[in-house]
Amino acid sequence: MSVGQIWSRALRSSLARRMAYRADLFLSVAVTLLSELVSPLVTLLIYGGSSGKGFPGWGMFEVLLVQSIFLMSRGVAFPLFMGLMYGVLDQVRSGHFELTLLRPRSPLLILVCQGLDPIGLTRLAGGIGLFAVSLSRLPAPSALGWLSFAALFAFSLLVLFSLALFMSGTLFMWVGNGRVYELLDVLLNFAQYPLSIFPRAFSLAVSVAVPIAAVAYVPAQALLGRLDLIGLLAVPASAAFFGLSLLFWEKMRTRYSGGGG
Amino acid sequence: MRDDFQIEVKSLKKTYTTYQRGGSFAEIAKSVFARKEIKVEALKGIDFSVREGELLGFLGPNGAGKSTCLKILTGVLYPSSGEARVLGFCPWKQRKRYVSNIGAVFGQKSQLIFDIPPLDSFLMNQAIYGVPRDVFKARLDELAGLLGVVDIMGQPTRNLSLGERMKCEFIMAMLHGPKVVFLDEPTIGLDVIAKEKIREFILAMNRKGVTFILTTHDLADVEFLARRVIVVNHGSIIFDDGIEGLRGHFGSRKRIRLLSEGGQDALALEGLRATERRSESEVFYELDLASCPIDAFIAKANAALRILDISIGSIPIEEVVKGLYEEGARHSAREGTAR
Repeated sequence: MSVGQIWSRALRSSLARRMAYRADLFLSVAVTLLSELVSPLVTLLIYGGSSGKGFPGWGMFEVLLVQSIFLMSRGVAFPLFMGLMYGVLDQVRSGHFELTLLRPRSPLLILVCQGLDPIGLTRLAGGIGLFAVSLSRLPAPSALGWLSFAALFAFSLLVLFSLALFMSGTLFMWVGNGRVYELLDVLLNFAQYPLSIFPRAFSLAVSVAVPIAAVAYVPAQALLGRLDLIGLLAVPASAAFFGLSLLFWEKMRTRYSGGGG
Repeated sequence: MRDDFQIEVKSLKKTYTTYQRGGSFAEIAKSVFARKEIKVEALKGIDFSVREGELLGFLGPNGAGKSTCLKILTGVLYPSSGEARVLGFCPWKQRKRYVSNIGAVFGQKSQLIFDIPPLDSFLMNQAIYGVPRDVFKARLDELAGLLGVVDIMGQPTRNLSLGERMKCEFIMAMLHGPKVVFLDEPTIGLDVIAKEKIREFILAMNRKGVTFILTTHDLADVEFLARRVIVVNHGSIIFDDGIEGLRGHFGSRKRIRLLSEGGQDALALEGLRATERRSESEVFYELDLASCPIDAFIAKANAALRILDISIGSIPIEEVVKGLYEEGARHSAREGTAR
C-alpha cells in the first residue's frame, strides 16, 4: 500500500481520536487560535499607537504579512508533521518506540502518521484570514511574486520539518527532554519578524546556518517583490539544512537502546 | 546457517551502557555533572535454533536477558556481536523487509490506539502492512471469531477489559499472517478464562504452522503450550530441552501424599524424603525414582502401614524452574568470585 493510503488511514484515526473527546476538541481549537494571534495583536498595538513607532522600513501590513505566513506555515506543519517531536519524546521514554520499529515501514513515516493532529489547522485558518487582510492593504503581487511565494512556502515547510527532525533526534540521546518545545519556540520567535530589524551577522546566521528566515520572511519578501541576496541564499541553505537533519535523525535513531524488559 | 532452522542464533552478545548513582543528595548533585557509567552484559554469547512450527518457551528470572534477546530477534535492537538469522533475514540489518513476516505481542506494551475502537487500529495495520482488503476481512473474521471479540471491536479500547484488550493485541499481531510470532508475557494480569482462551488461540495458530517464541513468568502457560524450553540466566542459556526434560532436570522424582492409619515412622526408604508433615498420619514425600522405583515404594509402604489414601504426582514445574534459577545464580556468583 502506498504512503498516501497509510497517511489517509492515519488521518482518519487521528480525527476519530480527537472527536472522542468533544470538550477537549472545542477548547483546543479556541486556545490554539487565541495563542497564535498574540504576535499579530502586538504588531497592531505597536503600529496603532500615536507615537508612530514600528519596525524601520516596514509598514504595519507588511509585518502582518510576515506574521500571517508564519501562522500559515505553522498551520500546515503542526497538523502534518510536528507531532513527530511528541511521538519520539513519549515513545523513547516509555519504550514504545519498539512497537514503531516492528512496523515494516520507515519509523519516521510511522511517527509522522501517528502524530497527525487536525487541531493545528485552526492556525492555518487564522493565518489565511490575516494573510487576506494584509494583502488587501498592500500592492497586488505580480505573477512571478506568487510563483516565487508558492515555491518558497514549500521551503518554509521544509525548514520546519528539518527543525522537527533535529529536535526529535536529540530525544534519542537526551531521553525525556520535554524542553525541546520551548527551544523550538525560542528559535521560531525570530522567524515572525522582518529580518532587517536584527543585526547583519544575526540575519546571515538565521538565513544560512539555521535558515529560519525561510519560514516567513523570505516568502513574504517574494510577495512584496523585494527578494534580496539573503533571501536567495536561504533556498540552498534550507535544502542543505534538511539533508543534515535527516542524516542526524537517522544517526540518532540507531542510539535507541530500548526501555527495559 | 542451516536450511531446516527458521531461527538460528550464534554467539549473540549484547552489552548495555547504563548509569548508576547513590541515593544521597551529594551523589544526586554529583550525577548531574558526572555519571558513573556501568556496563551490563545482558547476553553473553548465546546459541540456539528453532525449527518451523515449534512452540518454544523462553524462560528466565527478571533481568536474565530474555527480553533483550527477543528485541534483537525482532530487529528492534542491535546486538554488540554475534549472528542471527530468522526466516533467512538478519533482523537488525534487514528490519523493514523482515518485520513484515513476524508478529509480536508485548503484554506490557499496547499496539492498540487507546481512544478509539480496536477496529480502527486493525485498519491502520492493514494499511501499514499492505494487506489486501479481502484477505484482511477473511483473517479478521477468523481471528475475531476464534478469540470471541466480534462484538467488542467497535467499542473504544479504553472501555475494554484487560482480557479483551489482550485478545485484540493478538489480532493486531496476526492480521498480516506472520510466520513467526514473539510473545512477551502475553497473559500477564489476565483471569483464568481469558488465559485459557488465549492459550487455545496460540495452539490453534501453532497447528496452522506458525512458530511461537513465548517469554513468560507464568509457568502454566509453558506447561500448556511449550514443547521445548530454553532457560536463560545472567545472559547465558542454562537449559535447552523438552518440557519433560525440564521436569526431570534434577533427577526423576515424584511427589507423594500418603494418608495412613497411625503414624508413618516405620516408613524409611532410600531415596524417600519427607517434605511436609501435616499430622502423624498425613505426610508429603519426595521420592527419587533412581533409588526406589514406584512399584517398590508402594509394596514397601503397603507392608509397613495401613494406607487409607495415596496420591502420586510430578514435581511442580515451578520448583524445577526455581531450582534452575538458583543454580544459575550460584554459578554466576562463583564466576564473580573467581574473577
